This record gives sequence, structure tokens and C-alpha cells, in this order.
Amino acid sequence: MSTDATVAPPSHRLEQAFLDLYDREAPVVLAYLRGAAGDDAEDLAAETFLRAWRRWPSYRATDRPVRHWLFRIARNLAIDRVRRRGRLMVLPLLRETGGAGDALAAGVVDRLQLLAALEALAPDERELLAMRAAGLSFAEVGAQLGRTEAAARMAWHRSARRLQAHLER
Amino acid sequence: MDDMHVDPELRRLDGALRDAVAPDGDALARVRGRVAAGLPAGASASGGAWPLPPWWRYAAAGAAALALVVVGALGAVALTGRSSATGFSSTVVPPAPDVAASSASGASGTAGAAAAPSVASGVANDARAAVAPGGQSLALPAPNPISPPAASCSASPTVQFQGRGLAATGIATVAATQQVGTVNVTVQQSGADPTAALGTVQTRIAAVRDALTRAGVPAASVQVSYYRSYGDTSTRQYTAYASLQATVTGADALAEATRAVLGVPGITAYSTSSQAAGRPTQQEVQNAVGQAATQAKEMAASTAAAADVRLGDVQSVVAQPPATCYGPSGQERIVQVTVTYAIR
Repeated sequence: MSTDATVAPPSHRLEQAFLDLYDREAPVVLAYLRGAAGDDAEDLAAETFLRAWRRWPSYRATDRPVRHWLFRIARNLAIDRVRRRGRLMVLPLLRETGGAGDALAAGVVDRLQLLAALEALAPDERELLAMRAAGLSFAEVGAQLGRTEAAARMAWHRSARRLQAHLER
Repeated sequence: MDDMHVDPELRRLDGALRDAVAPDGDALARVRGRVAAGLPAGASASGGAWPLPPWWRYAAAGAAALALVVVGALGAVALTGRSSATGFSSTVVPPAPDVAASSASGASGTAGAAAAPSVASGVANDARAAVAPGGQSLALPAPNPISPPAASCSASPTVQFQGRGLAATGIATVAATQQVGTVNVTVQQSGADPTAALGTVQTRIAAVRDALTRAGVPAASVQVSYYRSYGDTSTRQYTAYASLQATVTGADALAEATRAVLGVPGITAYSTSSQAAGRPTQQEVQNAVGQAATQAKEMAASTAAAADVRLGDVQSVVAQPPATCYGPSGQERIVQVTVTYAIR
């Protein structure tokens, strides 16, 4: 009666396969979200992968690269979160390193200034820089933004120069 | 970077950005834990997300309808059985206890029978003596299984006539002598200079650590759970803050640690404690079981007298494991003991 030709493997195998996917892609997704959404990054990364888990069957029916698909989910979450938030910028979690107070403080200031400047950019510019900082190629950034690779590269240059200008103010 | 013609300044900027957003292993592990914890629930909650046959909704609806019919039939059988019993059947103190302990089952009556000799006092001993010859059951709870806090402590002792028997349930609070508390400290500093703000916070956290050490709190019990800075880009105001938690065992030690922390200027602190946070000893659980059993026995006796019936042998004693609930004084652990007597 059932038209399902394939039998779903036991759930623990699916979960393990999905956690393997997490281990492969999470560093890139989380890095992007740290750039694009700041302190909410871990929340959003967890939500990204949980949504991905729920939508896994619909993804399997497509031939999109998995990273592209994950970034679509992450982007939508980040855009929603940034829209809801005000101008308050929170740094990503800093672990207490103990002892090296000055170095920690200096690192905090550098990162604070960099991310503050990043936040001062337009959302699409910030997002583009965050994608690159997460390790996406220009081709991948272009695919994500619906642009050609060359157009993504040019847009990145513009955004990076604008970020530089903010830092020099 | 896959563009070799990029401006060196921008290349450095890109490198700094990558460093700034690169997650460390702890962050990845935290998120992974949250994802892993959500997978089974996600799988079950999403229902049709994983491949289910297209007719699953019909099957589910049919199963639900069947379950309703079965429940109704069982209810009817139960009511019929009660009304046709040779004795009388009435509920004297009706409402069933509304506590988290309801998960304990009657099956524990046989499963826990081996533990019977360790009953501490009161009617539990009487019950044991009465039960043993008849081969009936006596169940004791293990001291440590703790149900998650779920309900208010609204349980009340009950007595019910059940056919030719009478079941009385007594309730007692497990009086744990060991309290576990947490001292929570928050430090916050704002200013135009983020370096100074962060330095101040670090200094104060170090002072709190020193104070706790002097108060005898081991370093392993102290944890700085987060340490953050943030800034308002429009006003150029920066704030740094940190949070510290110290876990302390014993009311005196908790008071001492709290006093020590409050001596550090420029911090916010509070402490919490709960008897239920510490594990009760076997003896403490047994004492509570004895009290609950005594209460059950006294209620059974007074109810039987009021109803003008005579109690016979004890048929079973079932003690439910300690369950946590919220009472007037905060979180508590309670035990329930149900003693079932024959009616002569």
C-alpha cells in the first residue's frame, strides 16, 4: 500500500548522520552568525541546525549544496534577530582566561571596535563580510546572495572599505 | 582568501574579522549539545518531517478513537464491578493526591519487597509483621531517586474503602539535614573606556574569589559562568560584566560564604538554598516513611471507627519514592505510604 520505496533507517542513525553534518558545517555557520548576529550566534546556530533537522526530508529532494541550504536557514534567522534588536551590541562569549587580564582586555577592545564597526554597516554589507569571515568563497557568497562570483567580490571590496573607514573614524 | 589582488589593508582586515568570529571549541560543543538534545524531541515533534507513509494521519486518528473506546469500556467495567461488590464501596476522603510522586506504581509493592526489613518505625513495623505471614507485599522507596520538581505540595492524606478493603495514604516530608546552596555574584561596570571597565570587573571577580577562599569554599566549587563586554555604538558607552557562582554544602557554610561575598564592594550577590537540593540519607527517608505510615494507620483506624467497621490484617504497604514539590517553605521532598487493610 505504501508508496515509500525506501525504508527510513533507525532514528539513531539519522541523528548520528545529522550530527556528522553538524560537526562538518557548524564552525562555518557559527562563525557567520557571530559576525552577522553577535551574541545571539549560539542561539541562532542551535536553532539553525534544529530547523535543518526538521526540514531534512525537503532538503533531500533538492540538489542544492548542504552548506548553501544551511546558510539560507541561518541567514533568515539572523535577519529576523537583527531586525528585532536595537543598537546594543554584545560581544560573543568570552571565556575567562585567568591571569592575562591586560591581554584579555586588549583583545576585547580590538574585537569590540571591529564588531562595533561591523554593526555600523548596512545589514547586507555586514552579512556579506560575515560570510567571507566565516570562510565562504566568493562563489558561495554569490550563490547565497543571488549574485555572480564577480559581483560578490566587488560588493565585498566595497563593504570592506566601508568597514575600514568606520574603524578609522 | 581566494582573491590574490586584494588590497593588503583589506586582507589584514579580513584576517582580523575571521579571528573575531571564529568559534572556539567550547562554543561549538555548547551548540552541539543543544542540537543533540533537541534531535529526538525534534524528530517526534515534527511528526511528518521524517518520511511517514501518506496515510499516517488516518491510522493515528483510528488509533485515538480505538483508545477512547477502550478507556470508556474499562471505565464502565470498573464502575459495574464496584457496584456489584458484596461489601460496600465509598470514598471517604476523595481527592487523589496531586503530587509528583504519582509516578510510583503499585508494582513497586512486589519489586521492593526485599527492602522490607529496613523499615524504621511506627506502623510500618506493625505492617511488616502483619504482612509477612500472608505473603503480602511491602515496598520501600530507594532513598535517592528524585523526580524533577513538578507540582505544588498539595497532596493530602486520603482514606478509601475499596471493596472489602480500606486503603489509607499518609504523607510525610523528608527532613534532609544537608542543605546545598549557591552564592550568585554579578559584577558590572560601565564607562567610556572599555579597558578600564573590564579591568574593574576582573579585579572585583578576583576579590570575590579571594573572599570565598578565605570563607573555606574550595576553588573547584567556584565557577565564572560568563564574562562579557558590550557597548552602545551610538553613545560610546561600554559595559563589562561577569557572573560567578559558588556551590556550598551546609547552611552554615552557605551563610559564611554569603557574608564573605557581601563584604566585597561593588558587586551584587544573592544566595539560594534548598533542602531538596541535597540528597537525603537512607535513614532520613526511612524516618519519613515511618511517619507517613503512622499517619496512614491512624487515619485508617479513625475512619473505620467512624464507619463502624473493623480493620483486619494489613494486605499491602506501598511506599512511593521521595518526590519533589513546592511547599510554603520552598522545595520539599515528600513520601507517601499507602497501607491497605482487610475489613472484617
